[in-house]
Amino acid sequence: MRPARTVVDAERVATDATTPSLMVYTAGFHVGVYQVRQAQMAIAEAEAAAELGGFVASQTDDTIVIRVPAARFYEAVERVSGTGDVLHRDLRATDVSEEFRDNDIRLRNLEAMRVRLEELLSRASDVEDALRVERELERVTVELERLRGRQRFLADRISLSALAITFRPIASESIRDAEFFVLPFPWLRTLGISSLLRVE
Amino acid sequence: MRSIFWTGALLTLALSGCAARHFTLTTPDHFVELDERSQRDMGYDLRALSADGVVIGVREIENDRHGSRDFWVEAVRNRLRRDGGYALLSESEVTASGALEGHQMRFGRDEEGHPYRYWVTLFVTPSYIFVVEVGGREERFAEAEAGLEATLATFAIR
Repeated sequence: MRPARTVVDAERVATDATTPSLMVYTAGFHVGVYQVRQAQMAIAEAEAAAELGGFVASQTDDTIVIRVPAARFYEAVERVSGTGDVLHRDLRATDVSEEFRDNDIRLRNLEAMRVRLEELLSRASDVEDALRVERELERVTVELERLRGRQRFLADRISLSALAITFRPIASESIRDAEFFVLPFPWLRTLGISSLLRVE
Repeated sequence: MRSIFWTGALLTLALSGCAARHFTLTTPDHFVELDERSQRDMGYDLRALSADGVVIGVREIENDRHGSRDFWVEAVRNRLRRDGGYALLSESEVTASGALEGHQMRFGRDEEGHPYRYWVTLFVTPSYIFVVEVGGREERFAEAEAGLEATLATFAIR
């Protein structure tokens, strides 16, 4: 599942028959931290984004999304894992090769069709013919733009992996997890920094 | 008169002897060990502290349910992470004196804006669970960290 390439040029990739699978790598984390601000800064400013050649795509109070070059995806995953207590991790690799190449074929066909329609338009004998060809030309142009947009989107997702990290501030000692099974050993409940430091 | 003295001495020894420790730990030079009896009332078999508030505590608990080390490690981990609000920063196997194998968990947590460090090391035998706790404010703990690791390495079971 290792990223195969760093930068994807939509046209070059589509015409290169030897191109390996085109993968989109994404990751989602829930990280428990006891110093939320420091953990966010570590990822946002240096540790994960800038040093890895990436950038912060979005940031809220508890979530940060970074984009890093696909070739450094796993390096970023390791760095994020080191920022706190990883409660949940979801790594995904999606193969978009088929969609990417299908789109490319459709783009070429539509471009050829547009050239033919433009020729037909120039030879239109009456207004009715011209209007009919123009309507078809408009439809083809709209579809071309939609496909080009989709190719640009895929190329962006392939070249830059996205990591979304949600920080969960560690709950205070008084908040109980209702799903937590309390074991019948009283000494366990007396564990903790507050008991240890209470020496009077 | 002499027999009364020895009877009293033996009685005192018997009363305190029932709580004799089954472990040894050499605390750092700049730590002070607190009164054993009062600490026992608070659930600790040994507690020692530095002047700036880093504390070492050892609990010796009878393993009367014969839980394995894995069981107690998971019980402590769950208690502190899920129920206690602690972040587990790292955990590892440790070796103490006499090749004694233990499991150490290093936690962190914030309290009123101050970061704290809290290590729990478990040594489990068929008869006893030894829980060695070390904790303090992060900046003070960091200064003492190397010494604390050396101290934990001196832990031994009698």
